[in-house]
This record gives sequence, C-alpha cells and structure tokens, in this order.
Amino acid sequence: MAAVPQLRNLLRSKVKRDLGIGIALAVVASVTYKITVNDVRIKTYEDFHRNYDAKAHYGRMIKAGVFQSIRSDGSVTAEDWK
Amino acid sequence: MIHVMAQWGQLGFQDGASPMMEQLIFFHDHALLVLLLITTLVGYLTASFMLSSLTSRYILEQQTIETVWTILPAIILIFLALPSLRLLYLLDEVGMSCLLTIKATGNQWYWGYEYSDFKGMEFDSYMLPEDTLEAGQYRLLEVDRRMVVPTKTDVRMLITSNDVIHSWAVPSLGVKVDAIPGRLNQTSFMATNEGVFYGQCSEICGTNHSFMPITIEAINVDDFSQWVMLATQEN
Repeated sequence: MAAVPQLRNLLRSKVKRDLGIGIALAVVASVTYKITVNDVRIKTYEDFHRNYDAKAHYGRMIKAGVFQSIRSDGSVTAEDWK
Repeated sequence: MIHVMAQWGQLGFQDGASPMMEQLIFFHDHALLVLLLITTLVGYLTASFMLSSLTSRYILEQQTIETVWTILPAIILIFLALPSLRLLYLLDEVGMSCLLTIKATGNQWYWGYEYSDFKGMEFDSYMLPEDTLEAGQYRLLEVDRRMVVPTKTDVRMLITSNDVIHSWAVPSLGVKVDAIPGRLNQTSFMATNEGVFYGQCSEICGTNHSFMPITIEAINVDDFSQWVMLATQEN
C-alpha cells in the first residue's frame, strides 16, 4: 500500500524547511563574501605595506613633478606659500 | 598609490591613505557582510512565501518563533556594535599624540590654513580655474597652494569657518569635519605614505561650494622641515 501523503500542516512544514534553507543560504553567502572580499582586501593592504618601496616611489613622484613643494630636481621650494 | 582621488565609475571607497581609513574600510566590509546575511535570509523567505499557494487560517501566534526573531537580531546587532565601538574609540584616541597642528578655516569660497606652530605661517588655498590647468592636473581638485604635511606624523586639524557652514573632507584619509562659524572642531590624521590627497567641501555653502577643494601634499619629514624653514623665512 502506498504511503499516506502529508495532509495537514503543510504550511508549517514549509516554513520550517524554508527557514532552514534560508539560514543555510545566508551563511553560505556570508562566508563566500568574507573569503572573496573581506579577507582579500585585508591581504591586499598587508601585501601593499610589506612590498611598497616608499623611497623609490617618492623619488619617482618628485621626478614627475607631482609635488608643488618639491621641484623635479629634488630641491624644496616654498615660493608659492610666502 | 600616488594620487588618491575619486575615479570615474567608482563604486567603493578610495584607497586608504591613513591607518584610520584602512580600519574604516575593513569595518565597512564587515558591516556589508552582516547586511548580506540578513538580506539573503529575508529575501529568500520573502520570495518563498510569495511564490507559495499554501495558507493557514489558524496560525494566530507562536511564542517560540517570536522569541527567536527577537533574540537573533539582538545577537546580530552585537556583532555590528562591538567592532563599531572599537573603531569609534580608536578614532577618538588618535589625537592625543599630535606633533603638528593646522587650523583650516572655511571661507566663501576657499580654505585658509594656519600653521600656528610656526611663526607667521598662514596662507589661503584657492581652486585653480580650469583654463589655467596644465596637462596632468585634475579639474575642480587642484589648488594654488596645497596644504603640506609630513608623512607618518599625527596631524591635529582645527576646523572652523569665517562665514557659513563648510565641511573639510579628505576621503582617502578618512576625514570629514564640519567647519562651523563660532566653533572649533578637532580631528586628526596621519598620512602613511607620500603623495597628494584630494577632497572637496562637503557642506553646501553657496554658489561656489563645488569649487573650493582641499588638496593635501604629504612629503618626507626632512623635506617638510625644509619647506617650513623656507616658508617662514623673512624675504
């Protein structure tokens, strides 16, 4: 004889099942976001601070004339501020 | 990380150029994580209920679920509140060991800077008009006299205004403070590396509100000392 299908409390069962699925989905989404965004960004900043050659970049910026207070030849000027 | 400014089509924050801004970025990531958790759960349940044809006339109350959906959000809020308070107190702590103090005064429509640690050191900073820009300079962001600061040094900023309310903001340094007439607001920052950092007035202040930018030039401490000496030299 075939098993009796569920006849009552269908909505109750659905709610319980959906809550479980919803929580599981939310946790999976959060863990994925943490691994692919949060941790990646922290690592990017760590790597930047570990590998950044501040002196070399500073020299390049000065040569490129980025600063108002330092000329391309490396000499400091304050003419504009007097 | 040379010029830290807004880019076309940018969605996220500018790169953090100070330790505080880095912490703010990390906290924002954490807050978005919590937001994603809640949105996924609520979104899935909403869609599931909308697409279902099941109903019940007899569900009137259920103490268990009421308790759960009161306690659970409270727990989630704790996960938000603790890192938030940590960062709040960290931001407050920074100003205690400042080696340099600069006063920024908002005017219509330019910023005035006073380096009161050094005698006679004050200047105004006007936006460079578009027709005077050279190749490589940024529209609406460049000024005739940048605010120069040393790197890896805590700088205290005292912000006020001579007329209406302005706001002194530099996103990459994680700074935004209102400039209110009759009031002196204090904040602090530390530029981690050398470079040029841009910001714009962030409180509507009249016709040229969009044309009074803030440009900070962070240079080596030795170069900064020389710059101060030259700037305060009598002619």
